[in-house]
Amino acid sequence: MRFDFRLAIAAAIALAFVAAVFGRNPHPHVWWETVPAYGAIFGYAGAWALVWFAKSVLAPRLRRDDDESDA
Amino acid sequence: MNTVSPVVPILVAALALPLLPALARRVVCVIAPLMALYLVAAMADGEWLSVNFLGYELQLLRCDPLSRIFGMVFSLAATAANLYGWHRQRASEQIAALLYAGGGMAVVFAGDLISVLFAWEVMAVASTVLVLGSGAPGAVAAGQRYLLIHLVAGSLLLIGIAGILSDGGEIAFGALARGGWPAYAILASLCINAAVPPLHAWLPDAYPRASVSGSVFLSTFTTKAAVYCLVRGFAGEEMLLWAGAVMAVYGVVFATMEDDMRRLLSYHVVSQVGYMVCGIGIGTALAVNGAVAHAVCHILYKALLFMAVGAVIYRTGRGRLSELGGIYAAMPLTLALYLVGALSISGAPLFNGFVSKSLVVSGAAEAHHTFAAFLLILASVGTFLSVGLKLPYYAWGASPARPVGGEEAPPHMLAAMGLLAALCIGLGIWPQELYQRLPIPPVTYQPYTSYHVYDVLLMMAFCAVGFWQLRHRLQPHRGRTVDLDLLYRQPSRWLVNRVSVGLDHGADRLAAVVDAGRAATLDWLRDPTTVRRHDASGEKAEFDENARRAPVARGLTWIIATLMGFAASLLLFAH
Repeated sequence: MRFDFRLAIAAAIALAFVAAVFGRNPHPHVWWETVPAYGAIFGYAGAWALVWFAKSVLAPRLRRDDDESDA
Repeated sequence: MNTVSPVVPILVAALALPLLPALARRVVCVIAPLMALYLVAAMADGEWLSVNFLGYELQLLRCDPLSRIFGMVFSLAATAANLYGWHRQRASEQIAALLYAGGGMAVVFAGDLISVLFAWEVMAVASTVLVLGSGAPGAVAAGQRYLLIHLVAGSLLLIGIAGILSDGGEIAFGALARGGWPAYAILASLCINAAVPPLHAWLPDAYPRASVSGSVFLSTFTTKAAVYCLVRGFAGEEMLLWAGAVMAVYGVVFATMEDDMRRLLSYHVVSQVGYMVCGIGIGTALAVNGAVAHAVCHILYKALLFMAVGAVIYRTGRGRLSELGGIYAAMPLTLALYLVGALSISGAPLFNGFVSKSLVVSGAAEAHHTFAAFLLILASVGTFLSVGLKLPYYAWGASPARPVGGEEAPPHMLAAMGLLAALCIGLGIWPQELYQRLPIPPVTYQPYTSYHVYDVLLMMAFCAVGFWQLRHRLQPHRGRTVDLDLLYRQPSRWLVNRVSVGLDHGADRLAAVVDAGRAATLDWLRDPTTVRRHDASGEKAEFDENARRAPVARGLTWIIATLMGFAASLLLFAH
């Protein structure tokens, strides 16, 4: 049987997610540390937010051709 | 106990290089920083090498835990970078690299502000040579901009030091925070050198233009020497807290848009230095130790990353992600070593970034700077997205638009990368080796707790899921990104144009005046009487040598005759 990388990644993420739900920070310093699996939320939402902001908001305004003037 | 400055072997080597054959130069370049590492390790805390200069007592060698840890990592990085650059042929680049490293070492071991200034200027000039000397397109213009920016920074440093001394302040380099305007001038200088936005654009402008080994040196010294000075002088300066948190995200956002691999990594230098600046601004023992630890780890993994992409450029001749792809089969070892650096900068467990970044983020959280901590974690996501996923995917993985070719990096490059990769993993596994050398003991922080490891792994895993969904939107395209340098490049271009037009007009008028004066002088020399001689219309009369010859000859005859008569009368009546 062919090894399915996507299935393996999905299984690993699911296991890690379950582990994080049950592994709480005993000494939270900021409010989101009390949210179960906050790392997953940061990772996924952060990636989407950064790509949207950089590629959809900034890039159309700030990217230039190599030989294009700044003016 | 050693009292010899670690700068000495590097300086002696730099001076001796022009006299040595090519192979000896390469060997000396590697051995000199190794000797410096030995001297740093063998040095006890204390102050030596006092020199009187213009009435000031300079302290050329001061060693304490802060300078020692920076000295160790500087000399280690210089050793690895010179091994990586074993293929270099030109002595000028080797000398500049050694002087740059020596200048960095001199900064961290200087006990007074004047010595810091001198060492800093050596760094500025040597690093400019590294940028200028690469021969890459645009290197000369970028090098000129780099030099100008660092001359401004050096001038601010000089003004600040002069202000402190004129106010009767101490020449010793210690805490400067809340020291009035001179301290702020020095802070501004250090912020330029640490690439704090909006004073950062010189960094992604210049670093990608250097040679592949030059970039490794550049990524190591200037910004980290500035971080050292900020720790020494401005720990607890709240302005730095917010500047650092913002620059951490700023660098990440701009890196997300980048196509040029070394420019992408340069923006991540800005971002990672943001963690350090933020930790310094927080000012607690945990955060300041975190800033120092992160500087050490950053030097190691960032040099490794620049080495790996430099090896790709060296072998393929291509530095843009849009022109690369599919080189996994050709350069698998380089990829493996790159990934060590990428996982380190991303803060993955068992790699050094995990044990240092955690200190800064925890320092922000424990000091209740919630928003700063949020920005630092967001920057961490962006770092893994760009350096850990996008760059290796598009350089090594994705199918290229046209065949790339290439072969595995040469052995000396692999050896240098292997050394740094071993250090990245070693410090990640045994963080106490790093923690026990930090400047504010004791460090009781424990990075490897189950929830911390889980959260970081979850963050990376879900970031990878996001990347996979967004990978087509992250597809790199040729081009460049306009940065905040536009704010001073356009006005300065306008100013230069205005000044040059004004100078052109002035020069034309000056030339006309000089021409008129020259013509009048020549006329006068040929015929002094024309100065006063005008025709009926008021114009000067044309010179006619025959018309003027007779009166001039008559005048001369009378003068000679008078003189001869005077001489004859003297002879006749003298006795």
